[in-house]
Formats: sequence, structure tokens, C-alpha cells
Amino acid sequence: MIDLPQPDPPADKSEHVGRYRLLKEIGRGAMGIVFLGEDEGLGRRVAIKTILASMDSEEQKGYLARFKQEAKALGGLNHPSIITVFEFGDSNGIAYLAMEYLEGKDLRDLIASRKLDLSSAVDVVAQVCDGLAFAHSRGVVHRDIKPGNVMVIEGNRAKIMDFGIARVRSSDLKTQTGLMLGSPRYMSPEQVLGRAVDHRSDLFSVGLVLYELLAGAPPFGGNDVHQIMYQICNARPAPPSATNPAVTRALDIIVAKALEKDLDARYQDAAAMAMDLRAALPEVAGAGAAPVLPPSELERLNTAVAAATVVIPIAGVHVIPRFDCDAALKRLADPRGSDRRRMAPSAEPPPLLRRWFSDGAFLFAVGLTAAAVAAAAFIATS
Amino acid sequence: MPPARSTASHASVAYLRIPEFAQRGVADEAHLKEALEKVVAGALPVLRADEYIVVDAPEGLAVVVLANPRGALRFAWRAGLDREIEPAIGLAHGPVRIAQGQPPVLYGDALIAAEGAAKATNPGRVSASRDFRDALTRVHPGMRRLLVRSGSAVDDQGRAHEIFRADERTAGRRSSLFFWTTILIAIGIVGAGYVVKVTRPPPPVPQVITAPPVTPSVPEVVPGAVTFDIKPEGEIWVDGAFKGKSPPLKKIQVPPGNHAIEVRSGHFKPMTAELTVGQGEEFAVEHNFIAKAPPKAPVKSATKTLPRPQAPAATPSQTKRAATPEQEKGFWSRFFQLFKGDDRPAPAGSPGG
Repeated sequence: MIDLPQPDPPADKSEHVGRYRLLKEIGRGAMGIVFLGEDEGLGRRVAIKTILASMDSEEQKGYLARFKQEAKALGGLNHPSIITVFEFGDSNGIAYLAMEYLEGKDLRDLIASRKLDLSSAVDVVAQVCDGLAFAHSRGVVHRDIKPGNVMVIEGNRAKIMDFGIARVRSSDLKTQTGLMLGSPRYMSPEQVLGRAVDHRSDLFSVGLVLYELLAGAPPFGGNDVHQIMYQICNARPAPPSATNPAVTRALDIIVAKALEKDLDARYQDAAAMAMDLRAALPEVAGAGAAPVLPPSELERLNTAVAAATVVIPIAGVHVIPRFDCDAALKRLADPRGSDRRRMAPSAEPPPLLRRWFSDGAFLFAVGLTAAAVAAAAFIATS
Repeated sequence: MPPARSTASHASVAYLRIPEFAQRGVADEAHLKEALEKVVAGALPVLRADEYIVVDAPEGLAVVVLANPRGALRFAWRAGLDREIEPAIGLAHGPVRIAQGQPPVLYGDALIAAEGAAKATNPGRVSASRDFRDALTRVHPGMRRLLVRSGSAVDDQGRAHEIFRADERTAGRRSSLFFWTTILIAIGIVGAGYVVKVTRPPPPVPQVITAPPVTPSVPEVVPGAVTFDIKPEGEIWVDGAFKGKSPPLKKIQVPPGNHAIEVRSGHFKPMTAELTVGQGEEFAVEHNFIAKAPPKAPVKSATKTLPRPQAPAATPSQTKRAATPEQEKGFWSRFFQLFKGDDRPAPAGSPGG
């Protein structure tokens, strides 16, 4: 699922696609290659996305349709947080998409290098939400939000890329529900389950990205696709603050709200999420940049998160680290001595005598006897 | 992971749910959660440090209490006192398991049931599941009465649970009712003792001859009495006033003078008699309605009680109580007379008379 750009023999310098001169290959996906190109007329740099030629015709047909889809989806979207498309064309039988060339790093790299401090991360995700809100308002659902599809360019500006599997309302392309597209790690439960997907699915994916940015590790760990998908559908992840103490409570709640499995409990639109993120920003900024943990500590935390998330049970709830509960946790995990009896399931009723004694009936009797004795003594002392 | 045990540990869970949590904004939710954590921290001292585990819950917080259901209930009461958040608190008891991790994850039936109970609870109230009530009763049978069944709720897993109201208010009302009932009965007993003491004759004190605190010029009137032996039964009328049925009525007191005694019984011919009663004189009336024998005339009893000689010189300050012939009689008859409230003239000189 990781599509790292492979170093490739440089493209033929003289190769042209349309009116663009290809300079070098900058990325390669499963179905297409992205080149850095130059618009010779305007002298500006562009990114040219093309179809990989080595596909069989059936695959190519499918990809071409999707390619057109992306062009169509992007064509109508003019927003600072969404990559700008210049042209969709066909040159010598090669379909291509000329887009804005972005110089920056995608979030995947930034997460790996932990270059993004907390407030920048929140800001970036808020921008992503802005872009999504705009796309959603135009009836476009991205469906493949993941760190690799968010580029952060100069000035900490976020750009959403790769609308390859975006779904457009009244689309002529049949991206039938049931066909799984996208990266499993960043899928929403409804995507995993093959249910109808709407714009709220993007918000779940944004929630996963935000989680990873805040906690430094994805909420649902493990390398097995099925394990991840199971957890996406069932597990409630630990709040990011459990891993990164600098994460505020508000951010915890935003993440939890975005990661709601129940569609109606989740954020209903991206704009609301962006607003909440921006509202949470001052507190984060006030707290300063996220503490940079030593790599060894990071490693420990990451493995810990991975270990924890692998076994998150359904309806599991997380211990709040703010309260010191270690002693009790030990007792619960390994009851010893009388705990074995006291914490065992038991159905025996208590002995009768004990019931009477603690029932209040005993007290009642004592009270009345005392009163009677007092009365008798009173009468006797005349 | 700890070695898997065949049975999960059972523990109590108090689930504190913030009312309408999901309908609020993030800032509000963050504030409420923080406030709720403070509430929990404030209530935790009722538990020992190794008894509780605080866990994050979707709409609030949950506290798992180990091997101490009463502690869980007390904790819930304490936390429920908070008026700012007014958490709805659900109590449950059942299996809780731990999945190691960072932070550890708890899961199990008790957590789900507690959430269900909390959802069925009004803000600021405490509810408990049947499992919790059973667990509490096992350790503290007397607390059974504190939890009153109030309905049922369905949890997230679709299972129905019986819900018991476990408010401190309800519990307090019940126990205070119990307490005051006991106190009242005790007061009743002591009060009865007091009455007995008041109506009991003082031990004879020969030196102090008591006298009524009324004007000594008025001659004392000692009532006469009529005893009845009516078969099978009859209504006693004296001077046209109904005095009761005989049996059980055996004896009535009448002031000295002429009296018309009439004994009626259904359709039988009433028996009438004219009596002239002297001071302290006693008459006996015997009559059998069924026997056709002519009515016997009332006979003057052999015993004639006379007033004791009075010493008019006694100082009123020395006398607390006048000893009348009444008080020489048996304790129980006087005791009953107290409650019968017969309209005989109060013996002159009796307390308050």
C-alpha cells in the first residue's frame, strides 16, 4: 500500500506531452506516473500525471475512466487547499492531467520525521478540512484521504491531492459500493464494510490522519490489513493524549468525534471540524510546540501503541493515565489471596444470621428493647 | 498479557455520564470532561488507593471498583452530589477484563451494563443493575432495601437489564423513615411507662395525710356504684343516658342520689329499677332476659366502701396527690378507666381535676 517513488531512469528530455516538456519523474503509483513538467509557453512548472503504459487494456480502460473522473472532480474545485488542475488532455494517445506543481513534503514524510509541531499539525488538518468542506459542497467525496495525499507547502499550507477515486455526484463512472478502493489504514468503517459512502467518510479518514499527527503513530496498529480493518470497524482507540501528553482535551474530543463509527455521531461536515480545530488552536499554541521526545522514547511509545491497538477489544475503554491506578490494575490482572474469592463470580446468598444483623432489624430490636428497659426502669424508680 | 484465566475477575463499575454530552460543542465537552474528572477526583477518597481504576468513556468517565460494591455505591453518591455537571450514574457488577497496553484497556460486561444503566438514569441520579444489587447484598445484606426497582433498560448490546434506583436521597428517606419509626415506638414505650408511673399510687406515707387542695368547706362527694350481671347481654341506661353494654360493662359509678336504671336487650321487655344510692354505696343488678323469671330487684351489696377519714389540716404544699378510694383499687382497672373515659365526675382533688 505504500507507493514510494522509485528512482527511475530519467525520462527522455526531449519528451513532450501536449505543450509540456517532461523534466523528470517525481512519483509513481500503481497505475500512473507523475512527471515534473514545464509549460514552455508560460515557463511555469507543472506536474503531469499520466497512465502507466504497461497495463493491460482492461485495466487501462478502468484507470482511464477514473482518470477522467479525477479531472472532472478537480476541474470544478478551485480552492487554496486543493491542488489546482490546469488541463486534461490527450497527446498521442496518452491521457494526461496537468496540475499545479507543489514543492513541499507530504504528511507521510512529515509524520515520519516528526517535523510538524502540534499547532502546525492542527492548522494543516484544519486546512484540509476547509478543502474538504469545499469539495463536499460541490458534491465531491475524496474517499482516499491519507497522509500521502496531503502536501504541505511553503508557509505551512496544505493541499489535498489525488482525487483519483473521488466520487462525484451524478457520476457516469460506476464506482460501485463494494469495490474497495483506497488505503485500508485510512478507510472509514463504511468503506471497509462496503456500505454507502458519503462525505462523512472523508472526515473519519481526516480523523485518522489527525490522530497520527498528534500521537505520532496510527490509532490502529499492526501490519495485517485485516487486523486494521477489524479495528477500524470495532475498536475505540486510546485518546492521542495518552501517547502525547501535550495534546489537549479538546483535541482528544475532536479526534474521538471524527473517529465515531456511528455516522450520525460523527462530525456532520468538514467546516464544523475545521472550526473546532481552529478553536482548539490557541490552547495548543499556548502550550508551545509539542515536546520533542527522544527517539528511544518515541520508539517505545510507538511499539506500545502498536501493541495496545492490536488487542483493543470491542467496547474497550482506556485507563486515564492522569489517575494513578497501577495498584488496582495489578489486582485486577492478577488477583491474589482473598481477592480471588472477593472478585470471583458468586451467587450464594449470605447466611441468614448475617442478613438479620445487617438488615437493620437487629438495630430495630435493640432500639425497642432499650426503650422498654428504660420505661421499666422509669416505672420502678418511683 | 497475563496468563488467561478461565473466569474473568468481577468488579463493580460506576459509569458517570454527562447529560446530553454529544449535543454540545467541543469546547464545552472539553470543559465538562475536565470538570467531571475533578468530580471523580473529589469522590475517590471514599475508596482505597488500590481499589479503583478510572477509565475514559464515550460520554463521561467510568470508575471500576474492585471487591467493594458498597464503596462503589458510596463513590456514586458522593460524585452524584455535584450540581454543576449532574452526572447520571449507572452502577453495574460483573466481569471486567484487562488488555495490556499503553494505556491499558478494560473491557467486559460490567462496563456495558453500567453504561446502559447510566443511560436510563436522569441527571444527578444513581441507578444500579440487578447484578450490582446482588453483589452489594452478598456483602452487605442490609443495603438490599436501599435499591428499589424502578424499571428496565436496554444496553448497547440489546440486552434488557433491570434497573434499581440507588439514590442517596431515596436510600436516606428509607433509612430515616426506619429510624424515626423506631424512635417513635421507643418514645411510645417510654411514654406508656410515664403514664403508668403517673397513675400509680404513691407508697403509703403515714406521716403525710393528704388533703385536696380545694376549699375544705365543700363536703366531699364519694360516688356510689352499681354492678351489673346481665345475661346474655343488655344495654345499660342510667337516668335516660346510655352507659354501655353489659357484658363487658360490669360496674358504673353514679353520684349519690336517686337514679333510674334501665337494662334493655333487643325485643325483650326492659328491666327497670329505681335506686337511691348513698355515698360510697354499691348496688348489684342481676338480670337474665332469657329466663322467664321475674326481674330481681337490685340488692344493696354487702360491701359498702366509705370515704376515708379526712384530715382537713394538711397543708396543700405537702400534697401532691389526693388519695381517693379510686386509687386504692387495682392498677389495671384504673389503667383501663383512663382510656375508657367514662363520664363519672372526676374525684375531687385528683391531679388536674
